[in-house]
Amino acid sequence: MFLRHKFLSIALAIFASVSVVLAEEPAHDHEHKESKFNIGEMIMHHISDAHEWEFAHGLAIPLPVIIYDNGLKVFSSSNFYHSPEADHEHHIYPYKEAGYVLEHEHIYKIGADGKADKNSHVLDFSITKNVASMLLSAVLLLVIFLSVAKGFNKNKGKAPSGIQSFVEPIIIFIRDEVVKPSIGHGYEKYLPYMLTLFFFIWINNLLGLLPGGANLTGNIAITLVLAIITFLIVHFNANKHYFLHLVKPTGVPAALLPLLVPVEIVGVFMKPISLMIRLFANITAGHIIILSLLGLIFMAKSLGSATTGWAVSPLIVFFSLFMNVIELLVAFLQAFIFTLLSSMYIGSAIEDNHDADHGH
Amino acid sequence: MEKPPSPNQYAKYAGMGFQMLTTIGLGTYLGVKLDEWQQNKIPGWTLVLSLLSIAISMYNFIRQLPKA
Repeated sequence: MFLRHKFLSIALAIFASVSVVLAEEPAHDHEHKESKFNIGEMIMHHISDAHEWEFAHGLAIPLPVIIYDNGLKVFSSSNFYHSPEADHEHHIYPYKEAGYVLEHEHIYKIGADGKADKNSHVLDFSITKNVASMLLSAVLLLVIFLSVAKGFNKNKGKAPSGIQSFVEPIIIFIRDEVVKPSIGHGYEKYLPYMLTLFFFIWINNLLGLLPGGANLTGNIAITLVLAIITFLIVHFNANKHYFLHLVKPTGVPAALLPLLVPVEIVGVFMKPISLMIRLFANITAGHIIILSLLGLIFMAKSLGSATTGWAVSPLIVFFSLFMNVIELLVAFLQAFIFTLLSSMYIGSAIEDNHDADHGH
Repeated sequence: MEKPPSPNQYAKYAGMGFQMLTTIGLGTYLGVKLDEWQQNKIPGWTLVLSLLSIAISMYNFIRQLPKA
């Protein structure tokens, strides 16, 4: 059993490193071998945001483009992607009639030379793939939790029914194992935020694992906003002990204060920043691993022949299935850790007698 | 008194380690960028800020440990 696990991990490591090497290679001779499969580009395309929702090649839902540039302008993103002058190779999609061009998913004005005017500032409020996915997750969360709330009211004192019996234990788990021990007295006030945070991250992690799903929680803007909300909640609720401790840590000689106060303040900002990077990095890394595994099939095909591609497929499908199952766990774990650390930061900011447990 | 640590404890320490990583990473990144910006021959900012961020991260790590 041990041997088999060892083999698995070694094989995974080798495959991962090979795919990284292969991913690096095509970038160098970009111009010469454009027809060759570019795994790096494929991966970036899948993990980044887009103005259309692509499920497979040729199967995409155009999304609304909303821009503010001397007035609000709304049109469909198919005007970009189905433009007659579209340059798929360099990701340049001009929309001549409106005077805008979509270049690497950034919208610019078309300049006098007919190319993108990089100095133009177009405010882009488009419903992108990530925004659409977030709206979808909000609808899903509402549907699930309204039905749970209805079930809770209906089955008061009785056994839960339907989806309620799946969700209620998780709610109880978050309340009793995560929020209550970390925040302590007065935890009820923060429970709605913590539960929302947990289920929002979890459901978006899971939606991201679906084929064609958007990489929402692997987008640093999303995790940034979540971390900022936590940061604000911590600092609007913090008591005087918390702030006093920042400017005058207990048991520190006055001579050391100029040294330690900046250190304490750096620590305050590092907490939300590490929250932000952890979620972003974990989810993006998971996506990249699965995509590079799948990309190996196409690498094999482009280096050898179609037969080589078919030959390696069974092994790679097995590995990507394995990684997908791991990612199911990671999806839960990252939502759990984000919630746990958020409640721990709140707990440390509102706890009474902060000085008592720092005696020497 | 000796209770096996709950999963929360493991997550807490994992979080502290990651916080250390972020502090060092951001400090060093800032140093590299400053040296690039000033076009220094000797990467002074990188040296100072990376060592400083290691010190800060260690201080903050130890601060978060429970008092036994």
